[in-house]
Amino acid sequence: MFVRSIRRLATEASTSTLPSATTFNIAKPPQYTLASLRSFPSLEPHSFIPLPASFFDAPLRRDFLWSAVVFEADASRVGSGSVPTKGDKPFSNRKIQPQKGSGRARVGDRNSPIRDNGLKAFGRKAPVDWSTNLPRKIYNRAIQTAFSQQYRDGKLFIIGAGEQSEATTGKLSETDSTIVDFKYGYEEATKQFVECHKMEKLHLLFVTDDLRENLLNSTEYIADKADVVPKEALQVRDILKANRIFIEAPALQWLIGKHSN
Amino acid sequence: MPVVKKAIKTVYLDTIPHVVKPFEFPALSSIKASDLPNNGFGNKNYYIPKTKFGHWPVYLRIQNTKITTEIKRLKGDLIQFKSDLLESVPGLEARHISVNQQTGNVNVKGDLVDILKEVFTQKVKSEKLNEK
Repeated sequence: MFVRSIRRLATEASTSTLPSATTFNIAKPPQYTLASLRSFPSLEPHSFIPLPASFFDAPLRRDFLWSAVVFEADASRVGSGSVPTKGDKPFSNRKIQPQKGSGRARVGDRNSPIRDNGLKAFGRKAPVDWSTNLPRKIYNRAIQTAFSQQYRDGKLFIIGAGEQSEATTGKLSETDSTIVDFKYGYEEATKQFVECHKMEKLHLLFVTDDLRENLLNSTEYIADKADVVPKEALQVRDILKANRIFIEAPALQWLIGKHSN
Repeated sequence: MPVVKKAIKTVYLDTIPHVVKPFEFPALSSIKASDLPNNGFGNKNYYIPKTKFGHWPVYLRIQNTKITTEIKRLKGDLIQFKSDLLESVPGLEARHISVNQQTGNVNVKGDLVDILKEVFTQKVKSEKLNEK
């Protein structure tokens, strides 16, 4: 007797009816996470705000961070590297030896890139545009990942006036404000701020909603350790480089609005 | 009546500049404890978000002769999802399902797009959960 075997495609799906006993274990992921609203420069917390979990509880995806940092570094290249080529004519146009009779190969002038003279056949000429492309959604995910990681590590300080907080009810300390700025633009303000919060060896990042002149002037003496960045110019590598981030609430709202997918 | 012929001019309109709409913090009183992290999500449970056009995130992936079904953007416990899927789809074997927990992708061998969409529609009972 023959057993008839029917050949089927390996990718063909079985078409039997579905058992309906089990259901999927569906649950709702967290929507929000909480952060303290603080005043500056005391960093005194006075209120809570809900932040979107997609922005501040995103899992650590190093691939997004890597892509974004490379994208930013490429875009920041000046591209001034310039290589001498034959067209620059650094040498004379004189024919080196007669065309015939020398017993050697034919040669032209000294400007040929096949001679040992440092010239390149297809050298790059300044300005070179090294900027690369990155999908906007990938860059947004990188911003979200960077903020989430700093938030999880407790390095993110949000400065602002919340509802029913001391700032809005007028109980705020005289020396405090709800924006990231000092009362005066002297070095001493930053010195006291850094010393008081024990941040001498840390890299600081101040993200402001607007131009803060006092902050800029005051932090100038530790310019290599403190970045003052308006919200429009914030980059992923700024966020990753910082050990402490002080960001104004309106700037944060703007960034969330811009970098949500 | 004489027909008045009007010359049609090309009119160039300025495009509307893109203005970033800032995120509005919701009122604290509107936030429930179940909305916050540590609400038990990801512990033997998971979430299948629908796309913005209301479809299940199930796609056919063709790489020359290798045909797989890809489920994307899953969140939570994907190992649990895999075992639930094995129970729900008869004939499916564990070695046919590969799970990437970091990216939230699940790949199933073969073209199961229609079957998986049907399974999702049947098994995901609480439809309200899947609304954005």
